[in-house]
Amino acid sequence: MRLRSTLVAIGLMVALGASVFFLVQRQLSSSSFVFGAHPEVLEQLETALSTTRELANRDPENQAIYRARFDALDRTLGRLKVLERSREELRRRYQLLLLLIFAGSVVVATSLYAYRQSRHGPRLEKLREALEELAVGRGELVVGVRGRDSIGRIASMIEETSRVMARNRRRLAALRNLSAWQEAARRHAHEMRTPLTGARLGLGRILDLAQTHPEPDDEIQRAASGALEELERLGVFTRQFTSFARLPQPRLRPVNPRDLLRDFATTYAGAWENLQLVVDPEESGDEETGGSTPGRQAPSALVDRDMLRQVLVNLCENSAQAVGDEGGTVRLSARACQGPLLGEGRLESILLEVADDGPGIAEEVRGRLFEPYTTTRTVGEGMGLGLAISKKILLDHGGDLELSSSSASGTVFHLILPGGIPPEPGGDPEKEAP
Amino acid sequence: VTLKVRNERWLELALPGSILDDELVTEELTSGLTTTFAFLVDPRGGRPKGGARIEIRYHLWDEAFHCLAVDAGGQREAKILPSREALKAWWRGLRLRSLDLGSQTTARTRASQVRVTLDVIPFSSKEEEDTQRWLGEVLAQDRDAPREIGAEGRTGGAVNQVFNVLIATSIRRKAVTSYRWTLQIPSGSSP
Repeated sequence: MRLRSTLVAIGLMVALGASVFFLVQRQLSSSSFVFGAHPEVLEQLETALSTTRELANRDPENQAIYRARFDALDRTLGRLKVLERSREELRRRYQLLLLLIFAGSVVVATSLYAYRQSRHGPRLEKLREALEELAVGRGELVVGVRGRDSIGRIASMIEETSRVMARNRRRLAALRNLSAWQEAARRHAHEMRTPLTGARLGLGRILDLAQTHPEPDDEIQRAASGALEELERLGVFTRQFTSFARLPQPRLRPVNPRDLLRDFATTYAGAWENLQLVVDPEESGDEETGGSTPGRQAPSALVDRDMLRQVLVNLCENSAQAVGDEGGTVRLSARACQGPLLGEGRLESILLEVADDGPGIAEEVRGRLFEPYTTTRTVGEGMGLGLAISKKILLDHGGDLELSSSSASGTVFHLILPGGIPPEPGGDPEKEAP
Repeated sequence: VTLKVRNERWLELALPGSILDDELVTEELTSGLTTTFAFLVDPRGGRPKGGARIEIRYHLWDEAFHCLAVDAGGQREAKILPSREALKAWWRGLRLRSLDLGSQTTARTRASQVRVTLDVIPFSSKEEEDTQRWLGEVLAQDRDAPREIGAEGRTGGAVNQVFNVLIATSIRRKAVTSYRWTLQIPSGSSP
């Protein structure tokens, strides 16, 4: 851009200089000048003057005529001599004019350059500071440089990059944290499963012996049955551990998110007695990070339908518990968002919103909401793995699960999914997928 | 150059004949153009200046020098002189009133020195104006000529006009040689 404008400026200067040179040269070399200033012409005119005067002397009767002719010649000769004497001045002026044009062009070009520098200097300094902050890993940068020129665009790119980097860092940290928890859960489950199996077999054997004994002992049978029930509960606990530790990789298929929500709301309409599921109609409006597209069907997303359904079940389960006996409503909606929600050059994302009207999440819990074993339920009612599993599922989809807001009037979760697959006209894309 | 004070008011210049013997001046005198001798008398100290002018043209028809002297008092003296000798005699006899000492306020503030500058200009202002006008006409004819015969279109008309003016106004009188003297103003006065 800068090179192009510089080349244009140089081209204009050259064109201007060449035009002036051509025009002045043309005037200076015009026939009047060349012919009039020729020494031979001046000499011939002087000779003509002398001849005319001589003729007048020899022909006194026509002296008046010769005098008039003499005066005309004398006038012309005088003008040409004046011209000849001014020629040097003309040349000097011509050179001065060219010099002035050149100097003017240099002054204009220098002034423009200085102006640009004075205008761009502080902005470039801000860019440099922003890049330094970016280099040390600061996220959510505000460069403070606006404009539609290159510098303004670079500033916007730095801000976008910092946002994406911050988001990716958060996702990476969450993934690492969950992976560590998964590994711990896997080891615990493994360590527990073998002795648990052995204990269950041993107790089963004791129970069989007690039943087949010639004198069966009811007390032994009750104790063994109770111990087996407890071991069964421990088995369930271990299986949950295992399911968290061995979350399968999602099998991605193109799914229309609105259809997914409608199917979920229909299928699970009676799953929670105290909860009403409502799918919001098509939205129009702006999203903070970009903007939903008014009147346009949301594009499809690549998701594992079953896993995403599991996430929705987990969220609704939490909502049902939060609203309690008073009951409440969970609103489900889907929209496409422009903007680098997920980074990696993805300009379009699918945002699923799950909003309840419960009492909200306690503030002290929000910071570690997605960590495993975080629960507000009483001991024995849940392990607090639901949100951790849900987060892991969304991260495995290349998306994210975020707590958008939580207050006394309700809680809103955002399920962010990479989008970009145009909607199939007239049908669920999943049905046509291989 | 010598100075005299006339009637306690006018500072008169008397000119040396050697100026006319200068090779450059001699050449100009026979050029056929009106050689102008412009005198500027500058009293030191920012006081009002004075001056005088002599125009000499050798006329080939008459084979004589047509001379005109105009002094600071507006007095004009015209002469037709048949030879260089007569011209030199007239030149030496000239007494040009060049500075009105009466305008120099009081005697106490009157300058004691003047700087006299003589510029020898190859043509007169009348010849300058005539040539500028004539050249403008000629250039306009040159410019219009192709259009009349339809040989080529006229381009850059406005720019050409600008350059015509530039060229025409480049015809300016410029001294071919100059003389400068710094002289004491005589204290006495002639009647």
